[in-house]
Amino acid sequence: MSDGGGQLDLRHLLRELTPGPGWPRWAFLLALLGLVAAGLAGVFGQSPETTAASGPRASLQVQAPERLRGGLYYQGRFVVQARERLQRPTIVLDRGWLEQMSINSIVPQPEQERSTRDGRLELVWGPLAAGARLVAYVYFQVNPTNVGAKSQDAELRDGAATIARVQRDLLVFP
Amino acid sequence: MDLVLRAAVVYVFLFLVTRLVGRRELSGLEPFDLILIVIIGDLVQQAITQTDASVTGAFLVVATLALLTVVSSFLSYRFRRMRPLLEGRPLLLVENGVPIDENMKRERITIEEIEAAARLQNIASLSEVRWAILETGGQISFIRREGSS
Repeated sequence: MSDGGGQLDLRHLLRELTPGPGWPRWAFLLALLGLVAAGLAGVFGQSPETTAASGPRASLQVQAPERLRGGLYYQGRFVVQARERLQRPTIVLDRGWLEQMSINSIVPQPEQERSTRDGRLELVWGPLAAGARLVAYVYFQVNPTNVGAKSQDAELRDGAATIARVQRDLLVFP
Repeated sequence: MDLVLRAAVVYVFLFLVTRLVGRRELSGLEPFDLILIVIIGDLVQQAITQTDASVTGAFLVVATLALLTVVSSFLSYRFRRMRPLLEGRPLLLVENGVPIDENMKRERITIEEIEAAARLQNIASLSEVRWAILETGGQISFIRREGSS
């Protein structure tokens, strides 16, 4: 009886000491490598992308990251190039710029900031002469609970008239 | 992208620091050393992740550090010449009961520390020691002289 028990213990010990197949470990390492490679390629953010739209009177160029992670600071750069005089150059930011985001500062400070009924933000600056350029920087921080895809369109208006509209999407990783 | 690069740069920097500080200091943790390690951990975390509060960011940093650790151990295993650079070399501290001052000075180890380590191995006197070796992990190992019990 004792011999049988001893053999059983030995078999159990040998089973314990024999390494399992190596492929799960390699698969996990490969997954880690893929994750790091994707990170290096900027898949998870936050390198800035440039999108632009042009109208007959002016053009709008937006430079900001399209992929972000919770907690990150980032900069939105808005360039308005006027072909004709704009009396009330206005940049209208979609709700995706605002929901679960903190706006830290806007440079240069707009003359007026107001929200629309549908939750968008209007930033209004003083007159812009034909050929002149307005570069506005808006500094944001992503709230840590902000996750998912959202529209981050930006519109250039002169008063109530829409001149150009930039369409872009933002993806925030958890 | 910058998260991975920051993690890699900090890994290399910490590796160099631990190699330069010396293995003896890192092998035994005094209360002050423990506090220093906690402070370093906090500073390093801020430098790597900054304001990033995401799970994705944490995965990226951990994956980067894990891969660098695997690469480092693979290089050490595969290329013999890299081993001293990556892991250091064992250092002879005592030979036939005689302390080697030059090596002790290099690692800032006093004779009292060697004697204390010897007592922990039940060795009463260094005259019983054939070799005392500072291992790459910071421990001191002792080989007794033949005939000494």
